[in-house]
Amino acid sequence: MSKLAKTKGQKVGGYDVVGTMSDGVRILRPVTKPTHFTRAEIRQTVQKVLAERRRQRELMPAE
Amino acid sequence: MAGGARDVFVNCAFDLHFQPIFRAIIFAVHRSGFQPRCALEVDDSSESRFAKIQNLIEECPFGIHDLSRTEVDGAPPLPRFNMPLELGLFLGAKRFGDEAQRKKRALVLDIEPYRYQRFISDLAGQDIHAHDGNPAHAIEAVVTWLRTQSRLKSVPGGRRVAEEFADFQQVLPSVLAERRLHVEEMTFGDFSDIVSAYLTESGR
Repeated sequence: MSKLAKTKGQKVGGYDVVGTMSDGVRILRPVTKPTHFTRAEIRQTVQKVLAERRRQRELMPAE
Repeated sequence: MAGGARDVFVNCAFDLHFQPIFRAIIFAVHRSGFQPRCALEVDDSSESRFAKIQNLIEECPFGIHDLSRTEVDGAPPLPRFNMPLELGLFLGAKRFGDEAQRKKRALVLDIEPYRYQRFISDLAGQDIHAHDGNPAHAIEAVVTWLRTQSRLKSVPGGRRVAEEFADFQQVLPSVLAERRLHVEEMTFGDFSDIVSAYLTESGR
C-alpha cells in the first residue's frame, strides 16, 4: 500500500514532500493551492473514492 | 514565488480541446517527482500575462513546450503563436542568461514529426518528439525526458505512468462528483492537488 506516511511532511531541496511512491519517487506538494476545496478535503475525497472502488472490486466475483 | 531545481515550466494550450494532453503532462511531471508550473497558477490581474510567463520561465530550470496547438484559427485564418513565442523566450534565456539560466533544459513536443519545420524551420535539427495527440505518448516522452535529465533511476517507465494515468482518469470523475464540481470548473490548482493526493493515496 501507500508509503506516503514515511515522508509526509519532509522537505527536500526546499520542496514540501507529500508522500513517497513505492518505487521511491517523492511527490511534491503543488505550488498552487486548490481553488474550490482545501487540501484536506481533496485528500479525504480521494481516500473515500479509492476505498469505495476497492470495496466494489472485492464484491465482484473472481473470474 | 521563488523557483526550485525541480520546477518544470509547462508551455502549452489550455483550451478544452487540448485538456487531455495538458492533464497527461501535469500528471507525468508530478509522478516523476517534479513540480509543474504554468501561467494558470497565477491569479493576479494586476500582472500582465506575459509578465507572469517571463517570471515562470526565469524560475524554471526545465521547460516542456508543446507546439501541437500552433494552428490557424479565425477569419482570416492566422496561426496561434503563443507557444512558439514562449519557447523562443525560454531558449533566449538559456542562450543569453546568467549561469543558472544557461543550465535550462527543454523538451519540445508536437502532434506529428517535422510539422514544426513548416512554421519554425529554424528549429530544424532539434530533437522534437511527436505524440500524435495521444496522452499516453505525451506521458512517455515527458517521463523519459525527466528521468534522463534528473538521472533519477527511481522514476518509472513512461508506459507504466501512462497506465497509472488511465487509472487516474477513471477515478477523477468520482472525485469531482463527490465535491460537486464540473470538470470544466476545475482549476489548475484543483487538478494538481487531486493528482498529488491520488498518487500518494493510491498505494502504487
